[in-house]
Amino acid sequence: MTGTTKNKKGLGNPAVLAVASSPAGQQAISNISETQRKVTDAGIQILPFVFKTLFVAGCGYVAYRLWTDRFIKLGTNPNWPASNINDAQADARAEAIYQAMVGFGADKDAVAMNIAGLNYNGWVKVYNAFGNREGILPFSKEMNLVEWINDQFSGDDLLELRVILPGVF
Amino acid sequence: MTDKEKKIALYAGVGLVAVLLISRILPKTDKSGGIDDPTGNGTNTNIPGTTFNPSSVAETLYDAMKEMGTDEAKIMNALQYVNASQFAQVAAKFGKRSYNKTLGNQINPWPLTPLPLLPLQVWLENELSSSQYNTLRLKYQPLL
Repeated sequence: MTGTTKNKKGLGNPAVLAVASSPAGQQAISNISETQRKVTDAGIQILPFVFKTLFVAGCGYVAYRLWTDRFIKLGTNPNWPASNINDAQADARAEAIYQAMVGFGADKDAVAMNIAGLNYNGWVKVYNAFGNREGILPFSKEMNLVEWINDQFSGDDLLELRVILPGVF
Repeated sequence: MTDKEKKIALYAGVGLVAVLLISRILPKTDKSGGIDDPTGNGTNTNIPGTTFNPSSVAETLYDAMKEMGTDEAKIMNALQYVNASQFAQVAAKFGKRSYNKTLGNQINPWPLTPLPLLPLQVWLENELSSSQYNTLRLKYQPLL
């Protein structure tokens, strides 16, 4: 059997205990406690400032999102022929297009029927009547008509819709 | 809450409401655009940014359909910026060309009997899917 020597660390080390119990050690420990108390006090004092800053930043963020996510109406273009549908027809077409796209799957033929024959200013009326609409899931992102069409269709279906109404989405 | 804090809260609230109102009330007006309607459904016949050559479009359609296997995307792309009045010109340039309706190409199993000459409308109806053909019908009625 052979004897072993263990290195004692932390408070188990007699040297540390000796230093800690000396006046200088006690003073050092006291200083550390005082510093910790000051840091805590400073933290408590800074809390109102942090909350106010967060409040103002939160208001700014909400305002920023309201501004960037707002629906931007398209203006009719007087250089081009007047709309070939009236407001009521535009509302009806916008609603029919929305019903064709909302939920699972999208009815391309129904969308095609409702954009067929529109001139540019007619398209503007339908686009504005559609506005920003959210998906079937609560809190889903609101999208305008162009975003909806590009979100719901791709490939050949999207090409077919672009054949029907070129130059607008 | 101190007066200063109340002021800050007031300014933040007013700013928020102002942004909300401006974003809801003020529409953006589109003043861009030339004299031609980009949809091709206006009274003008030219779609901006495109050059229209009925012979070229007719040959593109023919190339896409004459062999076995139709290039449907090529057909749809060729017709994307062609409006109804222009399509009538394309159909006229295409004229009537020999076509095997059964096989969907120009192969003639009976050399002594020539294939019938058929117009563009018949070619498209046979070569495209019903969905694609209906799309063209929506755009070009009553030509298709």
